[in-house]
Amino acid sequence: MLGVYEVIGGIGVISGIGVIMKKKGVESVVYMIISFVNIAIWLMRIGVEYVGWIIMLVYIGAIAVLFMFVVMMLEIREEERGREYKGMMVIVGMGVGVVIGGRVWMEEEGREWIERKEKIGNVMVISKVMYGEKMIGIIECGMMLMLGMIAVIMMVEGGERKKEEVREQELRRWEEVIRRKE
Amino acid sequence: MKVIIEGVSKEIVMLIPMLIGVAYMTLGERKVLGGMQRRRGPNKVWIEGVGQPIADGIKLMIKEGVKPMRAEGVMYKAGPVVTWMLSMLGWSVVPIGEGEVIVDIEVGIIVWMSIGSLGVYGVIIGGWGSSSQYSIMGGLRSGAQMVSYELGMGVMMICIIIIGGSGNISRIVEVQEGVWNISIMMPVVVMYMGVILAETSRTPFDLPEAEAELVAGYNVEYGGMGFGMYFLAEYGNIILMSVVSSVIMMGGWNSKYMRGELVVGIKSTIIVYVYIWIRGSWCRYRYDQLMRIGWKGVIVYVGGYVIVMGSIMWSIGGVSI
Repeated sequence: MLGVYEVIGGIGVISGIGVIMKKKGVESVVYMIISFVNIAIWLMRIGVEYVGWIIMLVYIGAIAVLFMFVVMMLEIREEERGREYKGMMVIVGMGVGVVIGGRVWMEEEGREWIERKEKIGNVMVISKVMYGEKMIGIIECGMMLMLGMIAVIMMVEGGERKKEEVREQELRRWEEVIRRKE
Repeated sequence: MKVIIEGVSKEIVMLIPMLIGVAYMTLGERKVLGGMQRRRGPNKVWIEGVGQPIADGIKLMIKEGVKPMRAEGVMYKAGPVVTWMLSMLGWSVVPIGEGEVIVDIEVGIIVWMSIGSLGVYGVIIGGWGSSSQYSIMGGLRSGAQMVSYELGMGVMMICIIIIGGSGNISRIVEVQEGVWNISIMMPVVVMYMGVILAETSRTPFDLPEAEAELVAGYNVEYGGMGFGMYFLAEYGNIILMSVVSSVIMMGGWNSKYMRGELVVGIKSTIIVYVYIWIRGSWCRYRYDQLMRIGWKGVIVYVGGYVIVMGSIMWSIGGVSI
């Protein structure tokens, strides 16, 4: 007999595979949204409904929408999505999933964290854990995010950009320019 | 099993009057607009046009649903269903009377906002699935508008939560027993009205369906019940937004003279009437104006008001009943 967690987890894994297997970008994003919804429902089931709804509001309602916008506007061609790496992507993704899942499974602190909310309330526990006991972890995550941001800025700014020298182009064809003006 | 039956029956009791309300809101809108333009509005079906919504509904239901040849099958069909479903789901946390709510939870306002923010997907998926340039542009415009104004709405909800000291909507109503939030939030109430108009894509912010530029926006390829579902969802959202506004801003069901539900109903009807009134008298903003109002106006000013409100509440030590 399958329980709620197995069903949610199964849908999560299937949609996670769907993210990398689908050819169309928009369909991939839809699968990603389904996996996000699964995460949110899972969090609600284990009793941290505040975090679950915040994921629903922020990640699904705002960030994934922006992903979808970008994918819809870009119209990525199918060839560019790296067909030959697809099998490898699945294996790597599953490996990462197993590692993270195992960590969640092993983590005993997490359960104690959930139990404690019964006494002082959900939001208070989150704030105490995030900005009190696990503050170093939060700062580390922030550093990693900042690294990503800097990397993106470097990628955008560092590359050579094609710049159009209008004046030079005009000068190069000076005869045409003059003829047109006459 | 008992829980499921109880939940389903509660939903039905909540939703059927809502659907009838949607149907008759369309008639009311056409009548009011007709009155504003010195016409009579629909007056042929039955007595003074009372049967018009039913006739419209039957027409939409029996119309053949034509799928465009290049449309993406699943996405095209999912769009209206998702929109309609989320529009109905929003009612699950909104109380319409004292204790008359399907689920009464501590994070009620956040749940309502999350469900509202998911509504973007129906529009985007439908617009993209139609494989038409007009509908894709309409979907993108609508999505960008809804996401932008959700931020302003979220900041206003922070104000409401600060005043009420809780995210529970029933508790917020209890706090308003003496003074309505509309008077405490006076400087930003006008912006609130603008934000709820923009959230439901109504005039003057009805850019997603700008007829002159986009034909009809994201739902241009839909006919029959596909269009009908988008239509029901849109008007359902207006009614939901009005009920929520009357509950969190206008004092909810606090009254000495009438039944609570009736009070909420009257207040919501007034807000729905204001919606129609604005539609009849204002013209549309340009898209850049819409974005400027959202990002440089509403969010900034309301963000400042959050600081003011937080300071006041901190200095008086919060509200107590």
